[in-house]
Amino acid sequence: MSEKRRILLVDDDVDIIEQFSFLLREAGHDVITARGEEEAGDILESVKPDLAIVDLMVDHLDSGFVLCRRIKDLYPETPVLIVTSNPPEANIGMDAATGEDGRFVHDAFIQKPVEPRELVDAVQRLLSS
Amino acid sequence: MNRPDKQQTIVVIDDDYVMRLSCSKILAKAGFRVETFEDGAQGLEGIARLRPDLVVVDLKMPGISGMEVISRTAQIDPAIIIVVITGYATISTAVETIKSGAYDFLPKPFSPDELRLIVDRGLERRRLLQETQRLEMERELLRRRFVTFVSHQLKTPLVAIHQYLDAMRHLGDVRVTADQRQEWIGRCLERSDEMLAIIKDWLTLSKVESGHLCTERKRIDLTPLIRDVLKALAEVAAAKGVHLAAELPENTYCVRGDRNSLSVLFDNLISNAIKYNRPNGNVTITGQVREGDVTISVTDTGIGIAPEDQQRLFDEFYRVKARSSASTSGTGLGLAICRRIVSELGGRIDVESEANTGSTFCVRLPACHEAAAL
Repeated sequence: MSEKRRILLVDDDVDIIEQFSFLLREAGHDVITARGEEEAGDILESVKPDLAIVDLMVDHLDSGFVLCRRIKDLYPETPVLIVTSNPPEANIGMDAATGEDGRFVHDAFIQKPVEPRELVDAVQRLLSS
Repeated sequence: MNRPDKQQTIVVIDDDYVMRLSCSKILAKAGFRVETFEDGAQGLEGIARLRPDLVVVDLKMPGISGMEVISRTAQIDPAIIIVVITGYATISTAVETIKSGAYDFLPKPFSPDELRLIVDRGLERRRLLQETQRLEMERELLRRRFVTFVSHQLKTPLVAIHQYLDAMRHLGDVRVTADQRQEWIGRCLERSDEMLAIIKDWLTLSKVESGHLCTERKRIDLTPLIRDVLKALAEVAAAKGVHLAAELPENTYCVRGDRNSLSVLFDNLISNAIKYNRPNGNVTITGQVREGDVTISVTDTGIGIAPEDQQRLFDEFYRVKARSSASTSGTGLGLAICRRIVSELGGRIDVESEANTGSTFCVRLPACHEAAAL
C-alpha cells in the first residue's frame, strides 16, 4: 500500500475547490486547499506537496505563473498542473511560464470544465512520472 | 502657447529661394526645426524621411505641383498638417487645396506673424487629432479587455455548475450520497442565481449607458422613494440583523429625475450597506440641502474600504479583495451602475470611509425647486 499523496489545490472559486477536492480525495489523495496565491505561499513554507494544481485567472494571469515558479523554486521535483477556464488563445504570456533557466514552470495544462475522470487521470499521470 | 517638449519639425517646400529663407528664419526663431526643399520631388522625399509635424508648401512650382505634394503627403501620413502658400489666391484654388487635404491656406505676401499664427493653429489641430486618436485607441483596448472580462465573469459560475453536474452524472449514487447531492444542487442554484444577477446588472448598466433608464425628468421627492426601497429591503436587513434608520422629512429632498433609475440607485447603495455590514450593524440614511444641491448619505458600520480601493470602487467589475475568508457574492457592477445614474442626472457620488468604523456613500444631485404638482 503506497503512502497517500499530498496535493496542493489553489483556486479562487469555492465550488471548484469543493469539486476538485472531492474528486481527488475520492481517488485516495490527501488534498490541501488554498483560495489564492498568498494562502498557497503560506502553506508552501511548511508543506512540500507531491503535486500542485494551480488555477490561472484571466485578470491575474501573472500571479498564477509567479506561484508556479515559486513552487518550482522551492520544490523542483513537484509537478505543477495548471487549470484554467480561459480559452487557450487568452493565455497570452505563457512565455512568462518559463523560469530563469528557460524550463517551463508547469508540467501539464488542462482546461476547465474538466471531466472528473480526466482530472483524476491527469493527476495520476503526473504523480507516477 | 503650450508646446510639446519635443522640438517639432516643419518642412518648407518652395521654389523661391527668398521665400524658403524667410519662412525658415521665422519658424526657426519660433523654436521649430525647419528643413527646406526647392521642389516637390525633393520635398516628398524629405517628408517621407523626416515625418514632419507640419508642411508649408507653395502651390505653384515647376515639376511636381503643390497639389500633388498635398495628396501624396496625406498618403505618407494623414496626420501631417499641410499649410498652402501661394501668390495666386483665389477662392476656387483655396477650396480645391483644402478638399485635397490641406489644413489651411496663406496668400502671399504674408507677415511673419501671419505665418506663425497659422503654423501654431495647425500644430494645435495636430495635437488635438493625435489626442483623439490616442483616446480612441485606449477606448478600443478597454473595450476588448472588457469583453474578455465579462465573458470570464459569466463563465466562472457556469464552469462551477458544470463541474457539479458532471460529478453527479459520473459518480453515481454510491459515491455521492443523497445529502451531498442536495448540497451540490443547492450550490448549482446559487451559482446560476449569481449568473442571472450579473446579466441583470449588466443589462441595467447598458440601459443607463444608452440613455434608456434615466428617461424621465420629473420632480421626485426622495423621501417616499427611499422609504419604499427600505421597505423592500427590510427582510434582507432583518436576516442579517442590520438595523435600518432613515431620518428624512418629506418635501425636503426633491430632485429632477426618473423614479426608476433613482430606485435602482438607492436600492444598490442600501443593499450594499446591508451586505457589507457587520451582524447587528446599522445603516443610517440622512439628507442635506446645500447650495442648490440635495445630498443623501448612506452610512454603514462595516469594515470600511481601504483608500486604494476607494479610487476604483466605482469601476465596472472592481471588487474589493475580501480580507476574511467568508466571501460575499456580488456582481461587481452595482456601484458602476450608481455612478452612471448619478452622472446621468447631473450629480456626483463619493465615498468616505474609515477602517473598522464604516463607510458613507454620498449622492449629490441638483435640487428641484418646483412646487409639487397637485
